[in-house]
Amino acid sequence: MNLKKWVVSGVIAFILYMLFLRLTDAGFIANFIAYISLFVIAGQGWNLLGGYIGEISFGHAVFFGIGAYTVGLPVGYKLDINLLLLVLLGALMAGIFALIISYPLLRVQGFPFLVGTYGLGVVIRSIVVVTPALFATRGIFISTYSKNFTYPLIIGFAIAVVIFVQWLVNQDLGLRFKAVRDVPTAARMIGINIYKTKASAFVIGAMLTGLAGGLFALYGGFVNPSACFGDNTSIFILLGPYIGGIGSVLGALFGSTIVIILQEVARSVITVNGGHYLMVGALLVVVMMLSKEGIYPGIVKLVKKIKNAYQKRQGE
Amino acid sequence: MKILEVNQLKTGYDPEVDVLRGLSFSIEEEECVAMVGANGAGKSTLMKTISGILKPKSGEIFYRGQRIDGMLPHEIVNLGIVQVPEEGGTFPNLTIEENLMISCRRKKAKMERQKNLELVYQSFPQLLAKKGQLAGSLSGGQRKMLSIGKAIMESPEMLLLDDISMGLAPKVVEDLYRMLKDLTLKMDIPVLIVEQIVEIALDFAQRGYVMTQGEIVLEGSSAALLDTEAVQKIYIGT
Amino acid sequence: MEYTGLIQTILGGVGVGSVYALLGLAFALVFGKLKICSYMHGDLAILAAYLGYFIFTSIGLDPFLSLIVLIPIFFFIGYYIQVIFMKPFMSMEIWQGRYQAQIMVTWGLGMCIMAIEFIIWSGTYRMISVPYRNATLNFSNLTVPVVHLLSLGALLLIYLVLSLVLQKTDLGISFRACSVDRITAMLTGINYQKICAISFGISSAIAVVAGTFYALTHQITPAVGLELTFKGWVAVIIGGMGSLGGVILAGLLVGLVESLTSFFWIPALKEAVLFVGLLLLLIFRPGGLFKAK
Ligand SMILES: Nc1ncnc2c1ncn2[C@@H]1O[C@H](COP(=O)(O)OP(=O)(O)OP(=O)(O)O)[C@@H](O)[C@H]1O
Ligand SMILES: [Mg+2]
Repeated sequence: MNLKKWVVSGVIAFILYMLFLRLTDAGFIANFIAYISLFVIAGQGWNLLGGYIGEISFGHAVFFGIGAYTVGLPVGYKLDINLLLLVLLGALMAGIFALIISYPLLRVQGFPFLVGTYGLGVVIRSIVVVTPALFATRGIFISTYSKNFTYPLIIGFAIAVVIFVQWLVNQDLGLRFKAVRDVPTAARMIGINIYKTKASAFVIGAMLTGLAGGLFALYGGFVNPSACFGDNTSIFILLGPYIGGIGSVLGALFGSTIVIILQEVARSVITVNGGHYLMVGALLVVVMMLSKEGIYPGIVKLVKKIKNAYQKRQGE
Repeated sequence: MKILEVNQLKTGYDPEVDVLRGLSFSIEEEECVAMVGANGAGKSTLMKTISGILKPKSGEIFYRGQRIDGMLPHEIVNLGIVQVPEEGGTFPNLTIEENLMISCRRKKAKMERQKNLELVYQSFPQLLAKKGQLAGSLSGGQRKMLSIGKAIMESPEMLLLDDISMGLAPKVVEDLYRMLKDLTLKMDIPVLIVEQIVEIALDFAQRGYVMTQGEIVLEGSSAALLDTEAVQKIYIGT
Repeated sequence: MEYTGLIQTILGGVGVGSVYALLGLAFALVFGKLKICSYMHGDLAILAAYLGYFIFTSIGLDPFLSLIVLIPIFFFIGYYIQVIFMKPFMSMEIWQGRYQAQIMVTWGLGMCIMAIEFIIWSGTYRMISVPYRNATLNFSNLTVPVVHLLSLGALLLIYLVLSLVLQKTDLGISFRACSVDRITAMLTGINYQKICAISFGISSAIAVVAGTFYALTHQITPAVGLELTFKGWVAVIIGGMGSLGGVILAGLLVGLVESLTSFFWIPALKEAVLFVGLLLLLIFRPGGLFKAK
C-alpha cells in the first residue's frame, strides 16, 4: 500500500507550510490556507458518508457547531480547561451526537435523509438561538493561542485527517462502505450490517467535522450560531467534496480548496452581499453537467480516455 | 427494395464491452425474417437498437433507404417500425382501453383507429371483455395480447417481435402465434421475429439468421436452417 | 377570546400551508411520477415573487394580473431547464446516483437565481403592498384574510385541473404511461423527453403561483428560496411521496404546525418544531403520514 507516499507528502507539505509561515510572518495567505484546511477537515468527514456511502447530508454544520461550542462554552462559563483538550472533546461530542441522531436519520435514504439532515441543522440552530444558557445569538469570544501555534496546528490536523481517511477507506471498514453503496443487496448477503456500516461512516465523519469545528473556534477566537450552525457552513462543507469528487480523498481535498478559494474570489468580484453564490452555483452546475462524479474523477477518466486513444493510434 | 438494412452495427451497454460486434443483415419487402440465437446472444439488444432505445456505437441502420440510427424512439415509431418488446410492453396503471388508445399516435393510426380497434378486439376477444380494467390485472398471456394489440393500433409498417413466448405456457404461445400469423397476413407487412423457441420462429419466418455473441454466423431459408448444427445446438439449449 | 384566537391561528396556518402545499405539489408531480428531483422550485417561486413585486412597483400591475404573463414564461423556463440541464440524467438509474446529480444541478441553478436576486434587489425585505393585502372577511367574530382564501382556492383549483388532465387527456395518459415504464412509453411512440419537459414546465408554473401567494402574505428576501424548497419537500415526505392529495394535506399540516407553534410557544422555534416532527415521523412512519395507495 502506498500509504507511505501519503505520509511523506504530508510531512513535506507541513514543512513547506512552516517555512511559508515564517517567511510571510503569518500573513493573509498563511491565514487563508489555514481557513481552507478547516473545510478540508470538515469535508473529509462529510465525504465518508456522502461520498463513500452515498448519503448526502445537508446538515453537517451541526457537527461543526458542536465541535466549536464544546470549545466555546467552557470558555464562556469561565472554566479553565485546556483548549486542545476541548477540541478533542468536541470531536468526541460530535461523534456521540451523530450516534444518537443516526437512529432516526439513517432509517431513510436519499432525499428524505437530505431533508432530515437539513432539518436537524435548523432544529439545533434554533435551539441555540433561543437559549440564553448557550449565549443565544451573542456568541462567545475565546482568547486563543497565537497564530504561529494555531495555524500549524490546523494544518497538521488537516494533513493527519487526510492520511487517516485514506488509510481508513482501504481498511476492511472502508471497503464495506463502498460495498454498501455499490451493491447493497450483495453486501447484505455476505453478512454486512448495512445500518451499522452507515452509522460508522456517519459517526467517524461527524467526529472529523466536529474536530474542524473545534479548530475553527481556535482559529477565529469566536463562536456564534450563524458562523457555526449556519446553512452556509453546511453548504460549503458539502460542496467541496461534491464538486471535487465524491468518494475520493484527493477529490474532496481539491474540491474543498477550490470551493473556498472560488467563494473568496467571487466575494471580491461580486461585492453585493449574497451575489457570490452566482459563481458557486454556476460552478456546481457546470461540474455536474461535465462530470457527474466531480472534477477529480472526471479528470482521471479524461486522462485515461486520452491515453487509450493514444495507445490505439500507436497500435495501428 | 430493402426494407431494413443493418450495416456493421456495434452496440453495448458499457463503453468498454460490445454486445453487438459488427452485425449486418437485411429484410426485403413483405418478408418475415427470424433472428435466432442462444440466451445472451444479443437479440434483444439488436431490437432495442433498431427501435432507438440504445444508441449504436458505430454502424448504420437504414429503413426504406432512410437512415434511422440516431433517431429518437418515438420518431422511429412514427416511421412505422413498431416493436413488441420482450419485457414490459404494457402500462399496468392504465386500463386496457387507455393502453390501446395511447398507442394510436401516428397520423395513419389515428385515421385507422376504429378499424384497428375492431381488429384487435376481434383477434383478442378477452381484451374486449376487460377493456375497462387496469392492464395490471391481466394474466401474462393477456398482457402479451395487449402488447401485440398496442402494436397493431399503431398501424405498423414493420413489426419487431421480441420473444413473445417468454414466460408463457406452451398452449398460450401456440394460440398467440396462430393469431399473429393471421394478423401479419392481414396487414401484409415485413416482420423481424426473435424467439426462444427456434422451431416456432423458423416456422413463422421464411428466412432466418443465426446469431452468436453479437455476430451473424449463418443465414438461410427457414427449412435449411432447421437442419444445421448451429441451430440444433440452440435448440438443445447449449 | 382565547378560543377565537386559536381558530384564527388555525385558519392562518392553513392559509400559509397552501403555499407549501403548492410547492409540494410541484415537486410531487415531477418526482413521484417521473423520478425527477428538483431543488430549485423554491427559488423559482421567489423569483416569480420578485418579478411580481417588480411589475407592481414599476407599472402598478396587480400581482394576479402579472400571473397571466408569468405563468407561461415560467412554463417555458421550466421546459427548457428540463431540456438543457436535466436531460442528461434521465437515463440514469437511481442507484447510479440519479437523484444526487439532479439535486446538485437544480440546487446550483437555484443558487444562481438567488444570487441574481441579491444582485438586483439586494437582501432587503420587500413587500408587495396591494390594497387588499390586509383585507379580511368577517364571520361573526372571526376575521379571515382574503389572500388566504384566495390561495386555498387556487390550490384547490390547481389540484382539480391537474387531476382532470391526468385522468382524461392524452397528455395525462402519456404522463402516466411514462411514469410507470419509460422504455415501453418510448416504444409506444411517446416522446418521453417532451413529456418530462412539459411536466417540469407545469411544475414551474405551479411554483409561480406559490411564489405569488407567498409574496402576498410575507415579506420576501432571496434566501427564502431554499427554505421554501425544503418545506415543499417536507410536504412531499410527510405526504408519502407522490400521492398528490396526500402532499396537499401534508403541506397544509406544515403550515398549521408552524402557526400553532408561534401561537402557543415561540415563533423563532416554529421551524425547529416542524423538523422535530419530521424526524419523529422518520422514526415511526418512514413512509409518510398519508401513504400512496
Ligand atoms: N441493461 C443491460 N445492461 C448491461 N448489460 C446488458 C443489459 N441487457 C443485456 N445485457 C447484456 O447484453 C448481452 C445480450 O443480452 P440480450 O438481452 O440482448 O440477449 P438476448 O439474445 O436477447 O437473450 P435472451 O434470449 O435471454 O433474451 C447479455 O450478455 C446481457 O448480459
Ligand atoms: Mg432477449
